[in-house]
Amino acid sequence: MVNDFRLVRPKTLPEALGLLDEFGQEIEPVAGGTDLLVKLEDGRIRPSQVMDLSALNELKQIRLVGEDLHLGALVTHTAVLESPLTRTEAPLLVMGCRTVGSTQIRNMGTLGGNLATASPAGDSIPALVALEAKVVLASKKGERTLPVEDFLVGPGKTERRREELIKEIILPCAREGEKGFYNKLGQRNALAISIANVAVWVRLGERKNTLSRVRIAFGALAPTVKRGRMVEDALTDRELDEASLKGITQLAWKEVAPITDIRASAQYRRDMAIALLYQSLYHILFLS
Amino acid sequence: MTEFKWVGKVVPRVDGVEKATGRLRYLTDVGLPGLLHGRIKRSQYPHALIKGIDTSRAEALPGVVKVLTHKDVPGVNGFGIIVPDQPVFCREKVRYIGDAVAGVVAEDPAVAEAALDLIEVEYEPQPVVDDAEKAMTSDSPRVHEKGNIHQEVHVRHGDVEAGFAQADLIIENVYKTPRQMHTFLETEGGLAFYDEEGLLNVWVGSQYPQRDQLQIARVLGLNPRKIRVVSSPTGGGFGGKDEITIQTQLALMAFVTKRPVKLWLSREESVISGWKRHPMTLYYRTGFKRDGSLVANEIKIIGDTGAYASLGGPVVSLAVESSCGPYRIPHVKIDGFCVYTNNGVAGAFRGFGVPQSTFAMETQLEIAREKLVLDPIEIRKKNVLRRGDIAPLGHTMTASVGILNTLERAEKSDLWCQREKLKSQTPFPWKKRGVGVAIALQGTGLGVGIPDYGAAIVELTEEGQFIVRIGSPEIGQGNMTAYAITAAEALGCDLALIKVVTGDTRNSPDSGTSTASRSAYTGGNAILDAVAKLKPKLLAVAGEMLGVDRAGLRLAGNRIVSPQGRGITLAELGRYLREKGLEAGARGNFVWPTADVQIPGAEGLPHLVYTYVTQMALVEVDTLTGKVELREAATALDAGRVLNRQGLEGQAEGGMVMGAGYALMEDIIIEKGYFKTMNLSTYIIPTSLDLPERHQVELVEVLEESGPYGAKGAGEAVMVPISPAITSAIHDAVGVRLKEMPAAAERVYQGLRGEEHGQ
Repeated sequence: MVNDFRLVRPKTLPEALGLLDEFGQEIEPVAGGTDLLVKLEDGRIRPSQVMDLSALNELKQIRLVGEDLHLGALVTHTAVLESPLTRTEAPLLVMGCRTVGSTQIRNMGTLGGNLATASPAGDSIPALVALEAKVVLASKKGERTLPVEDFLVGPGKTERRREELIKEIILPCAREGEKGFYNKLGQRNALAISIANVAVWVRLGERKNTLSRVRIAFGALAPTVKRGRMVEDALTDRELDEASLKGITQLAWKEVAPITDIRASAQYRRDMAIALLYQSLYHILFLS
Repeated sequence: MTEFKWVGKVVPRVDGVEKATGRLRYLTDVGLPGLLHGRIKRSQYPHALIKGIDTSRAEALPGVVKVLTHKDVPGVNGFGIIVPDQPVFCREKVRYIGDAVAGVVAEDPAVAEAALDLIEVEYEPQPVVDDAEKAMTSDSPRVHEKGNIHQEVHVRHGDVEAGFAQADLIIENVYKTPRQMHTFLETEGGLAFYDEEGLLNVWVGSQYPQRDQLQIARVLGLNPRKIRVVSSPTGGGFGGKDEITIQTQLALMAFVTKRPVKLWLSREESVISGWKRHPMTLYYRTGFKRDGSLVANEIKIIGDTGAYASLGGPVVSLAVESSCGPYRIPHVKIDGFCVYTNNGVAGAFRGFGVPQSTFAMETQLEIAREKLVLDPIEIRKKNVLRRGDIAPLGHTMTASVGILNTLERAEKSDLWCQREKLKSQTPFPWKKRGVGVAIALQGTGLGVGIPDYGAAIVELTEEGQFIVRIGSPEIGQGNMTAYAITAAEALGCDLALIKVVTGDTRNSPDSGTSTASRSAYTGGNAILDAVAKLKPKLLAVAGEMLGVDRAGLRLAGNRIVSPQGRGITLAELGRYLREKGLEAGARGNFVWPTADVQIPGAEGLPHLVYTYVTQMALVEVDTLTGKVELREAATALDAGRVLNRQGLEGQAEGGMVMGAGYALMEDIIIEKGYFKTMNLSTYIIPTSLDLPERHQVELVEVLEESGPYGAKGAGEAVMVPISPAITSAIHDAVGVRLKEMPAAAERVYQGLRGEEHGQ
């Protein structure tokens, strides 16, 4: 059962950062609440103060800044799906966000919230990691920026300090010749927590069936969303056919360190890293 | 062919508007002035002795009105439809993690919740009995003093060894089925209060208020007539609200405090405390002739009923009854065991043991068919029961038998006719498609040895409406509409003039439980009996009023008219009856026909009237991940005459979905007595995105003479054979033969890899 707490609702980012500076140790920020409310409901957290961020309209913007796309922390998954900017500039993120929960959860859940919760199975995060997105953290003292990949520390753990808020996410816009695929395996087709997922973002090579740049991120296959650098290198600048793709994607097995839980065994998950990666690259190379 | 005005027609559901608009509230959303809130303190261990219960700290908490334990139970501290072996509040022992040890009644739900933590219970943990087969051995720790085998059923018919001696092919396998949850939308809950007349009212989601009334009375040591139980038509049951859920605890809370109380389980509490489908282990040895004829079947079925009996015995009995499928098998030896463990509790669930054994039998048949290189439809046609046959249990199939008709209709479905084309349409090279077919019979009603009776009261009001009163509750399945159609057809009046009252011990007669696919058939027959008594009386009085002979009078729309065109309205007739002090209603009843033999020791075996169904599935398997998707389904159903067409199609669609969930993903996982799937985030049921866009439903009307207008029950059979149809389709697609459900991606993947891949 939810405990009693003080609810604060700042109107501006400086006001929010001031509150965090003052009460950082005991205040729990909430964006869409799709994770926090569950934890409150079963008493896993009992905060004395909750800071509702929903009035911070400045964090709900999607903006084009030079070659980059800036997404405010409070941009919802639905907003990502509906924005013409994300559809053209970040199609991989759109694919990831489409698989989050259900319509209701996508309407409430935010990109910043998904990052802050830092679930290894968070469905927007592999896309951000594969796109080499950066996260901007703001506090009363100033801002710092770090790669999303480094922001994630472990299940539910991030580099965010108690006095900091995620302000925005910055990712490079899609360029000519770049393509992606997001592949999720869940226990069902909606409202499913990933058993495993993979996001792939590539730049097609000049020669047919080659890739000049490959970025791969695995979800639900390690304590954090995990880049697959070994397999990225192996795939880069070589001619790929079905057979070689089958061979190279086996390397995914070495990139991941999954666990066994109620949804799947570690052994199965490791095999799925290979299967999902193979299917993703097959789609990119041979089906689109 | 008979022309009907209402039977078989598409009509609006009589309770549709108030449900769709939300005018009818979920019972657990309803409040009352001065309402208290109940909470249950549940066990900390799956199996433990209780050494002491200290409620003093909880009682001292401000806002707590009463803390209840076994000491507060005035009557029998137990409930259970067959044997009352489940304590209302445990005294000396807990047998599963959902067992109730104490109850709190408080002014506020939060206070009640907080008080639970202040109740101190001292336990002495006992070894956990977590495997039904091991529980059957003599050295197993005992869940109940009398031993862990709650009930055994043994069927011997023919000479099974002689049968195997004739067999050209013997198939031997072990099957395992999952623990499915009803997942009704509204969890168990209700309100209890005293009314102006001094009756203790218990309003609750229930499938049988009259039996609840008796069970509550036994617990409270009270005359049942002092108790009124009203069933809420919202929320759904699927068998999970057939047995007592919270009724006895809720009633006790109001009985002791003399104030209105609400008790409503959270989803997690519902998961751990509520009934489930019995997981079963099924050993099969089946003999075939070279031409596919079945000659012998030797079967052992072990059902895990968990901590308490409830309907576990009859569930295992029905698994035994349907273990040979709808087939002629001359030589059988079948043993069924219902076994206690500390794995939650299992009880009634749509299908009632039949889904488990149908999965096993249909898979046996498919394995043999493949080895004998026979067509899946032909091998079934060769073996199916026909009217007049002796069934494997030894009784004669004297009622209608439409299984062959459903096969013939399903064979003409788009899915079957176009199966090769559909199978070739795979979108990616790693996807493979396959089709499967399976058939089933489902006994309807309670079967021989359990008196099965229905009653209905039909009465004309002064407003010119007919009130139809039948106890069997509407809980979403649509029997109110079936009753209205039956009554309107029999009376010859407008459907809009029928008002149906169900599920209220004070205002509707005991007509038995809304289970066992029985309520439309039983209630419908009782209505016909009531109308047969009432209508001549009404026409006679109308004749008097009009001064004409009653012989030519007929009921049409809202009037009774003479051949000469004279007439009176039903309202006029109703008022006249009231003024003259004449009877304006009649009571009808119905007693079920039963089979000509009885299986000793097995309540309800065998049945006489069965529903028959053929289902087909087209699946797509991802050969790299093992993920299975149901792409298309077809159902051909023989439920006799169609009463409520839309309702029956709805049942068929919903049943298919429930059976697909059972085959593909649903399983409550319990380890060492502790639940690992506590809520709907880990207990996975299909969403609309997991289901096929096309499900062809064909209604095959093989009339059943004993049924109202020839109708039989339908609620359960529609979920049964789709599960083995799906697993057979998986085999057709990728060659993996599953002997354990659900067909979760990882299990299919292991099959593809050759792990756990028999045959």
